[in-house]
Amino acid sequence: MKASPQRTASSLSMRLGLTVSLMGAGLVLLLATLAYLALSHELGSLARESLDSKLEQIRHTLTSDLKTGDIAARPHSLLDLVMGHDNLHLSIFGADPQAEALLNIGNRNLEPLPVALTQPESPAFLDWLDSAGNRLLSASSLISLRNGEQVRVVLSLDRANDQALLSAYLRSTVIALPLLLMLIGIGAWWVVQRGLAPLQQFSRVAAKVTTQDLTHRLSPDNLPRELAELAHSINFMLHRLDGGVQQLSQFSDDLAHELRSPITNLMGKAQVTLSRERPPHEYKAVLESSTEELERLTRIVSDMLFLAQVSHPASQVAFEEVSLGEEARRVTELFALSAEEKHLGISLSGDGRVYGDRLMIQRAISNLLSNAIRHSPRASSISILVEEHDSSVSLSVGNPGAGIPEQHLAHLFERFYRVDSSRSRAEGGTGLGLAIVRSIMNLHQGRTEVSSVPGSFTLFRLVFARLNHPPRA
Amino acid sequence: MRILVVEDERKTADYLHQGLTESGYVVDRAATGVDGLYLIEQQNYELVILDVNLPEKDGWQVLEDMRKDSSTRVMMLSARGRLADKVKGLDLGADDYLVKPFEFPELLARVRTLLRRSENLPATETLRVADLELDPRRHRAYRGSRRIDLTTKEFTLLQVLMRQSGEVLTRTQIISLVWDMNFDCDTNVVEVSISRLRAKIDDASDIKLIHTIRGVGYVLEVRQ
Repeated sequence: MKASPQRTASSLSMRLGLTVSLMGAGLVLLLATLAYLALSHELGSLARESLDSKLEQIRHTLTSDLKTGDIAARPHSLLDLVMGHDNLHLSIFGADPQAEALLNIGNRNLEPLPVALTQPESPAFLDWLDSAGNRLLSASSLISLRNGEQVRVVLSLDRANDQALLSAYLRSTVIALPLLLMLIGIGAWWVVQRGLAPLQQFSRVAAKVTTQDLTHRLSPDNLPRELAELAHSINFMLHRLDGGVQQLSQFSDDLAHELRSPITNLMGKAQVTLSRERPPHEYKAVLESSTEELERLTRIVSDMLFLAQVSHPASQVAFEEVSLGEEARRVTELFALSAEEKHLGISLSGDGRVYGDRLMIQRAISNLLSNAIRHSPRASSISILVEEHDSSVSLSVGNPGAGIPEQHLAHLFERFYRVDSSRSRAEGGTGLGLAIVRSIMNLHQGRTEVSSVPGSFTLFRLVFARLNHPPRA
Repeated sequence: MRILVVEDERKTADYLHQGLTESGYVVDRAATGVDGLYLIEQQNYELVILDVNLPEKDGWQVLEDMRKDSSTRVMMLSARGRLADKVKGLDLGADDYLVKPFEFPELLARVRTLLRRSENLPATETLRVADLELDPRRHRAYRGSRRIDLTTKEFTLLQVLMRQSGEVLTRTQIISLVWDMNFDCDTNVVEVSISRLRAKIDDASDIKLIHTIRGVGYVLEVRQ
């Protein structure tokens, strides 16, 4: 024996919990990234809007009443616009961009401004970092003063606040994320645990089931639909097993009982005979009667073996085409003398071909016919009829007689079942004849039927599938 | 003729030994497969009766080993009656396969058949036992000068009994040989046929030829 490769058994709920947390993690990360991007975009456009409006105000101030010379004097009108906002910085340059700025208003010194801002064709907005690493957004514009002079106005917005907001958002997300994921994972684990809780009922029932006690069943009432179906199938399986096991135990009971009486007889007779000296012919008589009893035992054992062999699902039998009429004729020939002794007539009619095992079919017919002969009154007539139907071929054996009371009909084909136990045992039957007939028919995928009118007539019928196709190779 | 019985169950071996010895054979016994193989190498046997269930080396192996250099006839005995087992036995080179429980007369008959397989009796030869005469070709039977009228089955039955005169035939064997039914059927056809045959053959003669051996079967022979 080779050991199968070891597999670490993983808990279903743990696995599902982990999977759900991973999926949750991906989702939350995606959402957080999207939110970060949206926020940063929104903050950017807000900054541009505010720069734009400020620049517009400055433009208005400059064009309405200021000259170049006034600018350097830091007029109040400009100071008021910028000073209230400590994150704003205003630089105004003259016609020569390389020269010193005419005016610098702001908390910090932003020199040098990026060159791009002072070029004639400068962009409307520029994101840049100053020497200290602060992020700035600048707007640059050429403005004509009232006297026609042109100045370049550069207005910069320090974006430290926006940066702070974004990084605060990032920080809180990074702190909250693991917590959130844990919550999702635990939640998933809990949901799965709760969902699988009904399975514990399954394991409770499974633990109780033994061959002695197959009566436990699952109650499907409180189960979810998927599990209820499973519970139904398991209940059905238990039901079938229960039936099978009961039949088996009944069968071994019957078998022991059936074997006990002949063995007791043999033993008793031998012990009585040996208990004192006897003339040889008495010993001989005992041996002869023992042999007869043993013959019956042998027949029971052979029948049992045959039944076991036929009932074994893997039993391989080479089927061939068999004529039911011909086999019935041969069996009838065998029984002709027995029938004659009782002044019985046997009429045989019809024919039909089936696919099967010749010996077994002979055996089935023989068992039915021997029963019919045994139960027919003297000087009556037994009929064997082979008929072909649309999809089946049947062979029926009918005999007049006392018939079989209805309550026995369903059990007739069971092993060791006897309608009148004392009588048929005395006549030498093994009690297995009809069980063998049924097993043979099962093996042929056919069936057995019986009908009886008490006090008048009994009819047994073997139904085979009709032979439509040539036997498979 | 020498026969080897390889069987580990003592009681079975005992009665096989006794029965075969009383039927005129020289019988040796072995209780294990290894002992059996050893004896087969030492002695020249006409037939080996080999049980399948043996200690040390089972019957299949013994058969396989001995078939390497011996063509001695082998009859397998087994409690397993499945077709697959029989086929396996015959495939491995067994000449016959008998399933337990069996009746001793059947075993004896099979032993005889195996040992005379070479000397075929022509089926058409006229058979004679005492003053009983049976002519298969003309389908006639005479007791002394008296012609006996027989039905077809009675004729076949008499032929079977006469051909094996002195041997006990069991009910099952007779059903198989005369009615060609090879299973154990629940019928008294043999009893009835024998009693009718006896009425036709023996009733008018002082010397009775057909004898019933209770519990075993029937035999046709002259008894002093």
